[in-house]
Amino acid sequence: MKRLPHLPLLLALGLALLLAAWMALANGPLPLPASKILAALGLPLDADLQDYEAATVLQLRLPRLVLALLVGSALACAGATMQGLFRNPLAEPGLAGISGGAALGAVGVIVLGASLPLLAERASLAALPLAAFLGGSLAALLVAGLARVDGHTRIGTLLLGGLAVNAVTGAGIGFLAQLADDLALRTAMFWMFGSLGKAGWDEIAVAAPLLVVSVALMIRDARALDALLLGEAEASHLGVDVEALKRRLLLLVVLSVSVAVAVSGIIGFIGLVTPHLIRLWAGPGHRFLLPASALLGALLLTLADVLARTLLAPAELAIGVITTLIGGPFFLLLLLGLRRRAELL
Amino acid sequence: MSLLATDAGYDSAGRALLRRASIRIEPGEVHAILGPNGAGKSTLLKLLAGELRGTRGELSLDGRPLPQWTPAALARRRAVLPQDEQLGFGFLVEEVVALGRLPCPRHAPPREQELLREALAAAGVAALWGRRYTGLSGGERRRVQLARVLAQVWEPQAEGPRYLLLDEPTANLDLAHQHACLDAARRFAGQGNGVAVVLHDPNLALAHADRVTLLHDGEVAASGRPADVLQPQTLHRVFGIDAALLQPPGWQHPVIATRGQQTRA
Repeated sequence: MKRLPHLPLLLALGLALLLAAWMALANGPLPLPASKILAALGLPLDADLQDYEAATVLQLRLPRLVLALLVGSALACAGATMQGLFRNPLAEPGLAGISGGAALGAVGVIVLGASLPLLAERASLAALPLAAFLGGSLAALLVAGLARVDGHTRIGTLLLGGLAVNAVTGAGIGFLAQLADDLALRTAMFWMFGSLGKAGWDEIAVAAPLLVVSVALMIRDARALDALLLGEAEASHLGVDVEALKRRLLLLVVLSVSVAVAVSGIIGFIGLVTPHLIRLWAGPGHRFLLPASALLGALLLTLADVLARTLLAPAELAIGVITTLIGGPFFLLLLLGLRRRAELL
Repeated sequence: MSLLATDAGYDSAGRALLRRASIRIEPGEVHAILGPNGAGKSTLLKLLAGELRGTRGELSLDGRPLPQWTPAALARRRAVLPQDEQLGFGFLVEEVVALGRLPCPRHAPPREQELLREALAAAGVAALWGRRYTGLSGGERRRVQLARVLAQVWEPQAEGPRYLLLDEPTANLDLAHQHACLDAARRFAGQGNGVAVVLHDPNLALAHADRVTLLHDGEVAASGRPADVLQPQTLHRVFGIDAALLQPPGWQHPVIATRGQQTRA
């Protein structure tokens, strides 16, 4: 496929993102016209805005949109970084055991919290995201520790370790689900398939700085990531402190993915498919790949959330089901295309 | 001013990959490293590159021990072409060469583009501009990688001479391109820089090198001017082959003809 010029592509992505944001604010059980949305956002318009309409925009749809933008860009950027780090376009944050560990942590709090009164009270607030973050970090630390031999991180061992940790966390989640009562089970399942439904300004206040800083720091290492694609020895010949780079980027990936999982559950395929699309359109250079993936990830997750809210309205579909339903087959098509061209993209 | 290994050795998992070797890469010279498989050629090159930390001996660049160099400072003074590359992503050829510019202070885009073209031309692959790297043949990739390392040390440094370390740069290249590759190394050395190059073909060393170090079993078997080192009896001792030194009329350097044990019988 011929490459698209970078600037127009960025502009197109930005424009599409604005449109998607508009769709996210306007659509729902209570359809709102443009004038009312703009008025709710603070523009001095005489739109006959009712209080409940303003609350719908400011307390329900806007935080949800902001969370979609944050989580989408963080997952996509973490995916692209991970693929660069592993020099493998099939890598994704779930592979290193991060998502599995985060899921186990959160489900553990939900299920065990039901039998521990002290925990139950706080389960839906602070304990859940914290447990997800701790679970994700522990899993990643374990896997990264396993993969460290003689002061070097072996990428192959890291992938295998992630596979093992994912299997164990999967079994752990299954075990906990057996113990759960119906309500806890439903909450856990809903969380495991991802949702932006718990979005509130409190969650955003915690997640936003962490996610924004992680993404910015990943983008800052774009040139070094390019060099890393040549191989670790080659990158070090080019003056990159490879071990420090790998440690730093792994930490950023763990941080951003754990925070994303903590506020929105496991949302698959954004981190895998988004960088693929950008590479297909604009080449593998990370200085464009990382920021463009962040934009496209935000766009895709916003659109997925609009679908999640409207497809079965008034019921809500788990957003992870949508991203997986669309992302899975799409990814298979990509793989078939890649196989035909006999290259890794 | 030189890239220097003094009694350098390297062990891995209790086995000596390089027992004890000394070599001096002088500015202005192409220094070929030859020897049988497993003699320690690549290990010696990796020690000189600072990629491996030596188990024994001293390694230094311009008198300063390699461990005291920061990766960034070292990257401005020497470039390394490894034996094999593993770039599996679909960069364009000029983007691969541009990766070599990572440690360098960058110019305005037009000058950078010009520099990439110069480096590609020096490696004889100017025509590959705009092609996708993953679609190239093995030999083309090899030459693009040569252009990448040339681009890294393209510009003179105030601090001192630059060095190129090439591990079998002629592998996968046809005969004409083998000579073209070493001509490029020759021109680089001609600007007052040092080149260390691992080769298998003694004739390439005779044609292009100022100095040869012959490794055998992790030690230096012989070192000196190519025609002095690559003598039939030395080659027989190190490689176990029959060799004859021939002087084609009108050539500045002799050539070596070789035959194996079976051929003799």
